[in-house]
Amino acid sequence: MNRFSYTLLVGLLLMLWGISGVSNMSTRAVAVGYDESLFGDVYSPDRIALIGFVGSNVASELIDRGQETVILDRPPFEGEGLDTQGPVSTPVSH
Amino acid sequence: MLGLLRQRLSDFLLPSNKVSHKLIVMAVLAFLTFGATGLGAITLMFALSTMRAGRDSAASHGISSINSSRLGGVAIVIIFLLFLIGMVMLSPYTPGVARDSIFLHLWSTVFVCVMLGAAEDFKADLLSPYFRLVAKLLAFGIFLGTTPGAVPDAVGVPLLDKLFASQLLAWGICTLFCVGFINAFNMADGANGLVPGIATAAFGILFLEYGRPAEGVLFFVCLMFLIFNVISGWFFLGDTGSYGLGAALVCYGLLGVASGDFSAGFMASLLAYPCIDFLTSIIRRARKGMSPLRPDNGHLHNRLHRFYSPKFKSRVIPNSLTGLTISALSSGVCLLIYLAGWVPIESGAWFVVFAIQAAVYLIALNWLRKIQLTETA
Repeated sequence: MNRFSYTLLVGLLLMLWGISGVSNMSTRAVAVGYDESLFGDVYSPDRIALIGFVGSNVASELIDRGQETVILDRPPFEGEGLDTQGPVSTPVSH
Repeated sequence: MLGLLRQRLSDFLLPSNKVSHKLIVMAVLAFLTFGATGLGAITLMFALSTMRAGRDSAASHGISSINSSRLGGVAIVIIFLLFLIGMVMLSPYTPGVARDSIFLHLWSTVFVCVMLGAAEDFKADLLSPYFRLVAKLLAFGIFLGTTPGAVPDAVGVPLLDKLFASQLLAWGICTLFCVGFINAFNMADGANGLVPGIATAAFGILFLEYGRPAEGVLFFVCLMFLIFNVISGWFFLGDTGSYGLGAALVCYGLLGVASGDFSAGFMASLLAYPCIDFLTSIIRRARKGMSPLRPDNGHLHNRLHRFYSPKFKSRVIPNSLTGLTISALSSGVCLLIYLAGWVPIESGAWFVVFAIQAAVYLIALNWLRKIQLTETA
């Protein structure tokens, strides 16, 4: 593999790690009823490593705002614990 | 043996001191702003910027003096799609295009514009200017015809509001405005960080207003591109980027104004530089008897670059400083007012902000023209 392929591969893996983390965070946000407190400190090392200072603040802002702004709009997977704590689906997203 | 290995690794990772310094600065900024995700985006952009396809010589750009790739827009499209596909696969996220016909029409229009730009980026003059103009008119005409909700009933300007009373006239004006705007956006793409800076501010505000992932991802990609473009100068947006981002912004802007979420004055102020520069350039060329669409070096960013150039040894710094100065003083001011909450987003007072931006543009252009005329004389 040449330098181009290695660089592309590293970039793709880092991006996928980040996307996976963001998706996981969004899914958990719905599952726990959009409770920011369950996501720990905005500036926790894990979160900064994954989505950085700007990304972490933006994510907190969205979770604080609640269901209208969190990205999910499809009914959750079975067993994700939405029952009484959170909405079954959110009306907004694109 | 160990020394040889270290040398090989160093050659592989650090092509040259200058390049490695830029890469380190970009990586640090990307990591601080968007963590590993940002680092991945910058790495992908670096890989794509080294490709032979889409490479331009310095002579073919207005103010750039280094060889660069015009596939910046292609990189933005790839990272945007990668992010959205990843979210669709890893979370219960349904993209708007699969759920709402308005967004399906909107993104189809953006797609047509991206394709027109990509054709030009991969092979210059593959499509004639007239073909591109007709294709853009058709794309926006169909979008606005099939999505009446995107055509505002009024824009807060008395004379225009009378015209907007007729649906057909409103559709025609909006179609012409959309095509004019993406051409203006393309024309303004002449300095590192200028159009990416404007797009970052605009998508940031749209994301804060609506909280929709598409704008969030576009804000992220534009910010990463801004960092890459300003520090390295190895990438240009190209037609793919300027047409695509311009189309997305104008469509979202029209939808927001039509639904009353923000005023037309706010969008005018947010996207002030491309609009004012486009109109001023057309008037300037018409007064000289030139074709209004013929490229020249009389834009404010050209003159500002000529002002900065003698003050720096570097070829990238004056270029990036030009782009950052203009984007910060136009869309950056709008972003600041929005974040501070000084003027409500739906207020007509934004037209005053726009008028001040236009006055500052004209004063700066006139001042730079005068001092540059004195220097040459």
